[in-house]
Amino acid sequence: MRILRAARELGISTVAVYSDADRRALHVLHADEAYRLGPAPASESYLRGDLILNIAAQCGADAIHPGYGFLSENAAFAEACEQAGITFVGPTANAMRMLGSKTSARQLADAAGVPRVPGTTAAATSAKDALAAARKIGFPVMLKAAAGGGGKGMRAVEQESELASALTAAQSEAQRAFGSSDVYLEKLIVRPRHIEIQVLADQHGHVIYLGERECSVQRRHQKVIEEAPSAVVGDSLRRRMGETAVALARHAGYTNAGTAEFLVDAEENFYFLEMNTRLQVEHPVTELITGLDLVHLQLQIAAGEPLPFAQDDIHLRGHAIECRIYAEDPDNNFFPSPGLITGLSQPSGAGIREDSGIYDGWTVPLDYDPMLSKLVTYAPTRALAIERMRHALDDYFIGGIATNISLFQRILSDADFQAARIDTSYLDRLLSAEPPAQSVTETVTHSEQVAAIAAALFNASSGKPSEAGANAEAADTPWKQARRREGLR
Amino acid sequence: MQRDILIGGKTIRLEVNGDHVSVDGDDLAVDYQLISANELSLIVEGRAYRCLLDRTVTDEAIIVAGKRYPFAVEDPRALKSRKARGAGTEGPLQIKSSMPGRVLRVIVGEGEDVVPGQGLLVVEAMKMQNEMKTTRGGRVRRIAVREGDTVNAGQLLAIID
Repeated sequence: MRILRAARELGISTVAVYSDADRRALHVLHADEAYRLGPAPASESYLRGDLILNIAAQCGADAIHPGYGFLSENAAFAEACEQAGITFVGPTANAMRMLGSKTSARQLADAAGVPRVPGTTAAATSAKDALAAARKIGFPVMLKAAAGGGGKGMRAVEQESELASALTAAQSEAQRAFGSSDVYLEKLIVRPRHIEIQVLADQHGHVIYLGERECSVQRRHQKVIEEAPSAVVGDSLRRRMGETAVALARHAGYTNAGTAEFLVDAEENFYFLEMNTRLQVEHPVTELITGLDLVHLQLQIAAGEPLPFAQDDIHLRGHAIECRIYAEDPDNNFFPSPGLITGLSQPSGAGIREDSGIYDGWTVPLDYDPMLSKLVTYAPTRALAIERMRHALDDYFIGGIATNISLFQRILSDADFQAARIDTSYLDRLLSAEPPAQSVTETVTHSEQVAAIAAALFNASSGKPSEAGANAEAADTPWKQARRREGLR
Repeated sequence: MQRDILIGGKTIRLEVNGDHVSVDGDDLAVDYQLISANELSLIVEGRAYRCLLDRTVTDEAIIVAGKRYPFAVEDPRALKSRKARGAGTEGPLQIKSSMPGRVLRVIVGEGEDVVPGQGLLVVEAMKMQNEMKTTRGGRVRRIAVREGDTVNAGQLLAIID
């Protein structure tokens, strides 16, 4: 929907593709044209580049925007688009290959003089090999899948004795998730922040950075809350990180939107992690503090237009926070909770943006990532953006399914989060702490009274046949109710 | 209209009479408007509340100011619901699936004694495994599914006596 809207605004007509599970999805409802790809499993639909290209050719599409999942970082697909004469909205297949695999990205980072976490550039082939490398780097170390992302194929290793079994586990997980068992080693940075730099590069050699995003609030290596700017990044660190990211993009001959991810330690040392060669889920926070539309810019860059501004034209204003709302139950081990949405009331008002793909009466499919929406607030200061988000979450009602909204309410009211004392293990610490005591009181609280009155009124108005006769109030017509109120005055 | 509402482990007796409601004997001035099937504007003694009704496959709750209050309703005058109340606290407990998925494993057998919090079976959905637990102790009267079965949200999985 995000991309579809941006295209429409630029006068570009849109074509949606969908799997059987997504026939009723919002993007299909709103596109100018829509074509079926295949059955629900992504391997038979959204990952079938050949089918997507067939549809593109048949409907005469000029360009394909790959979104931010599925084939968005697939160099083979980008190459197939190039060969078919269809513009892929993103970097070239060549740049994607150079930066897409973590090992080749690290070699490139070394060549570009980009600081990175000490580690191996080649995949560890044997336990012996890995042990030698780990001793050189020094424990603790981290094992990571070369082709990976999203936390799959990752293992932290504290000491030598754990290395061999962790390597086997990481390799088999990497093989299953990415079709490649290549795993490399890295030094484990203690309590790092995850901070990333948004870059934009056109086809005429202009490369700029759009400030940073703080993405340290993570669960199982998945981002949960993102904000911009970071509370710990000052002008000097921002410039150093930004210029580093730009140098890397230049070195790779990168074009379009991309993100360089860094770990930042307490001493403001930053280490390059990886480059995401696509638009990212959390791009709205950057849009809000820069006043730019990244999807418009992606489309313009893909059309060969030069960037309409220079680095000095970029000014950051205010603070933005994004919560990733998922259909998962924080009270039940974050178990996914797909199902029918039976009621929906979305927050709105000044400084509130909601990018979602849901509607009342839609069934959240169980086939894909259960992200429902991204709720973003923007305000002059971080404290106000947090306050705005807390109220927006209170107003947000998604009925019928469990969501992680209560998790965000907990994080945003936490003193450490409010003071920006966060790092990549912050959320794990918060979740392993005693949950705030469920205030079970002997006496009935005022809120419980209110809830009870509401429950009784809803119950009476639902008009259950077995309880007929108790529904006198509910049976009132609006006229009768109005008359009674008149009588009160 | 009279209702007993079970909320936060307590039973609240309510009697709604037009624009007044008696809550456990306290008389409060109320005004209300049903905005939609699941949204209510409620004014209690001049204080305004937006109350949302959330029905999931496992429970029913009121959401006020972002807080969720699961509840159960009884009509004290209906004989039927008084029986239902007995069933709720003493009779058999029905364990239902909270989501569509596949039964991966059945942990306990029929006739076995279980304690509160014990896992009964494992349901898999979206490549994640979820252990379905009993909230009460008792004897397993029935396991309604078999390993490998596909289940829908709200489908009966087991009954605990």
